[in-house]
Amino acid sequence: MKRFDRRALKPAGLLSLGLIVACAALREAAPRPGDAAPAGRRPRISPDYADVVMPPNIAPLNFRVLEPCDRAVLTLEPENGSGMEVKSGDGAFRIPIKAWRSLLGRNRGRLITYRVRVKNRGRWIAYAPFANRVSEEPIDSRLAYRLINPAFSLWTVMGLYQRDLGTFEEKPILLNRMTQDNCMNCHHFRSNDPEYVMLHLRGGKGSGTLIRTPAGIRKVDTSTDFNKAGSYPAWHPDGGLIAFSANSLTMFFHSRGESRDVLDSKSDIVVFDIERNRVTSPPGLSDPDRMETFPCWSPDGRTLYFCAADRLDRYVGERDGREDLFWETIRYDLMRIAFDPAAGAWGRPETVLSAARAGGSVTEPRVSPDGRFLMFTLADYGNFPVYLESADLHLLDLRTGAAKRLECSGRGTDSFHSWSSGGGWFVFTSKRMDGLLGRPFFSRVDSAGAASKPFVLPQENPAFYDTFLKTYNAPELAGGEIRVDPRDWARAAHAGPALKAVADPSLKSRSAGGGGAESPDLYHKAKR
Amino acid sequence: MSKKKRHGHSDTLREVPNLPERPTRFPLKAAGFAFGAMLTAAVFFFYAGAVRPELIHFNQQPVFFADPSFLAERLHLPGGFLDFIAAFLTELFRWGWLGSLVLTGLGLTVCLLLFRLMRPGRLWAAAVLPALLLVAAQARADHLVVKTLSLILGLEAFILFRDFAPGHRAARFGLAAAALIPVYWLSPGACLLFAALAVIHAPADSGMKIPARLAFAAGIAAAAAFIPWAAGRWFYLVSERNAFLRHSAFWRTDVFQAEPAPGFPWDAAAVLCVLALTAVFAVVKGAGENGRPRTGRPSLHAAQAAALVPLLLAAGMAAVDRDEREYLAVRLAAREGDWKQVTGRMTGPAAGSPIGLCHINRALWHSGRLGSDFFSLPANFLGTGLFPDRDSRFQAPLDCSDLFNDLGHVNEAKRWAFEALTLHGESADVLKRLAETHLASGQDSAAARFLDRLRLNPFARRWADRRRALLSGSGAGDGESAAAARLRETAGRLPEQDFVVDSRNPVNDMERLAKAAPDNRMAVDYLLMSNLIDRDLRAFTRNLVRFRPNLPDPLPALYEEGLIAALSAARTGDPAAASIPVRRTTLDRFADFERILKAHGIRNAEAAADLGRGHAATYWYYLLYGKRAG
Repeated sequence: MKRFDRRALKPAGLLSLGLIVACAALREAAPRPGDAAPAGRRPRISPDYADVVMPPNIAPLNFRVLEPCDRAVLTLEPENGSGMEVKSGDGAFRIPIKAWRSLLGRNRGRLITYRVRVKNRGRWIAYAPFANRVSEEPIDSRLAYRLINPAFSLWTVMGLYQRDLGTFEEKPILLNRMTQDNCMNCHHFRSNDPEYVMLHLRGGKGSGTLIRTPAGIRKVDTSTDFNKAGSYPAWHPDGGLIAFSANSLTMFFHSRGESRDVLDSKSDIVVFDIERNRVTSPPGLSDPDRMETFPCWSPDGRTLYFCAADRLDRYVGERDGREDLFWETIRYDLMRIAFDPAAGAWGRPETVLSAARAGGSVTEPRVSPDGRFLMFTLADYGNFPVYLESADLHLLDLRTGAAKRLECSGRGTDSFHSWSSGGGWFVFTSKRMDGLLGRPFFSRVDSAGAASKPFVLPQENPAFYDTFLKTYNAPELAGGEIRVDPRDWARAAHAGPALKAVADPSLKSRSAGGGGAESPDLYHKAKR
Repeated sequence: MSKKKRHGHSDTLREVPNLPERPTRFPLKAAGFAFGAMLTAAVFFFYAGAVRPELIHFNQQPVFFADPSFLAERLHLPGGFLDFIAAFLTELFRWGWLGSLVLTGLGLTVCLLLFRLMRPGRLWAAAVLPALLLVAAQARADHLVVKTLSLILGLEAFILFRDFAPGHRAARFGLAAAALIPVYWLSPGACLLFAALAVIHAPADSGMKIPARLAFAAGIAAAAAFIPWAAGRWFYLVSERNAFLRHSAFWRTDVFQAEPAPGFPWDAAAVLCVLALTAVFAVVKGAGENGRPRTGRPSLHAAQAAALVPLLLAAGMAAVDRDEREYLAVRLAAREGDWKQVTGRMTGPAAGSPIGLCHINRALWHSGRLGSDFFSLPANFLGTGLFPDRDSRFQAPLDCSDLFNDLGHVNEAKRWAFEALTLHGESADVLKRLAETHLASGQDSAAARFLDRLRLNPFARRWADRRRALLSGSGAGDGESAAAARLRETAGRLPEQDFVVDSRNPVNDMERLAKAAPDNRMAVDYLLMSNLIDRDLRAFTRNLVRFRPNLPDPLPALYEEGLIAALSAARTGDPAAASIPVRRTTLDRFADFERILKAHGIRNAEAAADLGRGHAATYWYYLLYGKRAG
């Protein structure tokens, strides 16, 4: 056997060493991020996460640079502690979650500066920095929402989900493929408490309202001879009552702009007593001359806010020589009615903010947890703001009675807002990204009622929203995870017939010749 | 038993006594190959010519994205990976020849697996028979490829288990139960089939004593029931039916809101046939035993071959629903704007369906024949035909969107495209229409969303890139400028003033669209034809006068006939209408029509028959004898 000659290694070793030295020299000579030339402007980024206020418990706000680049570097420079650097080969920054948490935790109430440098055609460019502030106050840890295709008349795949706002984890609450493809929504918490949650299923055997309390899940049918099944809910802070609106909704379509629109031909508010399985409605909430909807309790449970408009036939008039419904003039006032929880006694309804004063139709009132503000949606008309491009969020100071449009609103349809239990943060659905699909945005209201620039729900993939065609519907913040297995909801839905609610004996039956029957005629008048 | 024997590859003359001499074997084998090749070719041409996989593609609207999140989403369902593969294969059906190749390949694979499963020996036709049933099943426009894949998976998994599992009975049972888990993950239907085959084979397994065989069968059945139950209980968020029966041939409502498909359940028949024949062969020959080699009398083989050919023909003829094919062919041609193809089929069965008739009338308009040939189609005498009725719209929303897009009713086209999105999912056709309608109505950000999604579909990426170039204004090629011109044309027809869409009576929308853009010829023609169909001659003459400058000269024959009818019935005193010139030939025709009518009287059946011979395609004939809509 031939003996191994060590001398053969010498040239190879020298060659390798030479290569290493050459590589190192080339690397040293190549342009580096530190040598970047200033661009003189900020980078274009998506989603827009510049100049926002962030809760300290939010997941990393991953974004991508919309500038031509072969490589990119993001440097996060906090006011307190050391910063971090994130590199990217395609301009999409995925910030490590652990380091991000620590960064936010150390910088509550402070600024974090973002510096973006990109390498394009061998040159490094440094963009002007921008900064985000970390709020002292955390946001509720979970967001519950429905994901659905932009809905017209049909529906198929939909589900209710909860998202951990501190991470990117999304878990199903209930998927309609488990409940024979029925429609599901109107999920709602009692004061953001995930132990008390309700949702509504429509269509098929699983139909009904599922109410989950620490005692378990029960399925009820809230329709009675007096009312249709409840839809928009408001759970009383004490836990025993849920106020529902009972609506007769009809969809119609426009030839320009947003095609969809919805008309309410009749609605009342009823109050469901969970323990007694009884439905009641004081005259002020089911006035035959008015259409009441969107109930919302004050945090002390002593006032019920709601919206109301005159009954539908008041809007019928003559147009082009024909009797027609002036649907574009239907506007809702913001109302309230006093309630004594101990005695179960109701006061008289009073107008808080008339449509005339507000300059549009007031819907979806939500009182802040401290009872100071009432946030509502204002649109040109109607009670279905999610389809109205004019829908914006407004804030009413309940101490002074002053109302104003929120600074964070005004770009596309904004609606379906929900307060965090701390009171500063809120979430709302906005179609500002493309005018079509609802996305959850977060903003913070300070003590003076000023709202910060909103930011969209962060996703692990910064380009997520570019290709995601489902819409986020009715986002609700919750203080913790809903610890109910989706299968338990499905089992409860299919366990048997729903417990039929009983109308209070004082309520007169409206099942025969009720207002709902007149809706088709008026609807067709509207179509002419 | 030796391994060689167990595998069934030992069909040599030495091992099987009392067989014919060696020289007869080669011709038989060659003849077998030749027959198999002929049968395969026949199946391919059957799919390519009679079935046309592009029609299956059109009917099923597959959703496929080469995107990890799409795959991840599929994996949340039992059998999701197979769904992913099936979606890819179904996308190939858009090219008829490729689809035929895929379908033939699947059929052939099943056939070869059945040979390995049954080892039928000289009775080889037994293994071909279930494959023929599957060929028939795959001819249906609603047959899902995933079901065939599931069948293949179930067969292959069982064959591997049977041939390679250890002989020790506890180990054998453990392996079978363990194998059910990945098979279930890939396809619940395959898991059921695997278990069923294992149960069928167990009693005939001579390697075990009878109590052990029964215990084995019971154990496998229990495992096959437990795995879906446990998967549904702990792993997948699906209904119980879904957890047990996904991809199974016995479950026919995979598609949302779909009624159980009508017609003979060919796929279920194929599986039942597999199970029955497997049981017969297992009992007769013993599980795991070799089949007899393909020898025997040539007449036996010839008889089997002769029996299979008519069976294949019969199954093919029975499986192909010709009316449905025609209907789908018309819809597909209309989607592709092949109007010649559509009008070529106007006398076929497609005219019997509201959607088919609607496309035929669209094609007549695009060919410039709507105003002259509308009543030459007997189906149009029913008084409908221009617009699909409510039920049809929800059954074929994308077709409905096609029509409204043509008419420049962009929001309605968008609405029905969204309904199609709900019904079919994010299929390429649906996303294309959504992108187009949003581009036409100036909603560029929303259009970009659909185009970006579409780019994830490798079969539609080029189309999406071209439209994306339009958005960014960088389009330069001929294709781009044509697309841009089309979009500009559609956008130019948008009504300036919003109006509430009349879903029940689209004629009102046509009037508004025509008023908003009188050069929208299709809306004007549809309005005038609707007036004629509705026998609203006052509205017809009013609109005719109003839109006269935008109509051709001379007017289409039916418009002239409508005008004559209105003037002769004195339903209009409009001098502008009376001044519209009518061709001499039309006046002569009317004179002849009146002569026959006067000779017999309106109510006379002879008048109807006489007029039907020379004037059946005229508006006057429709006016008198056509059905009143509604």
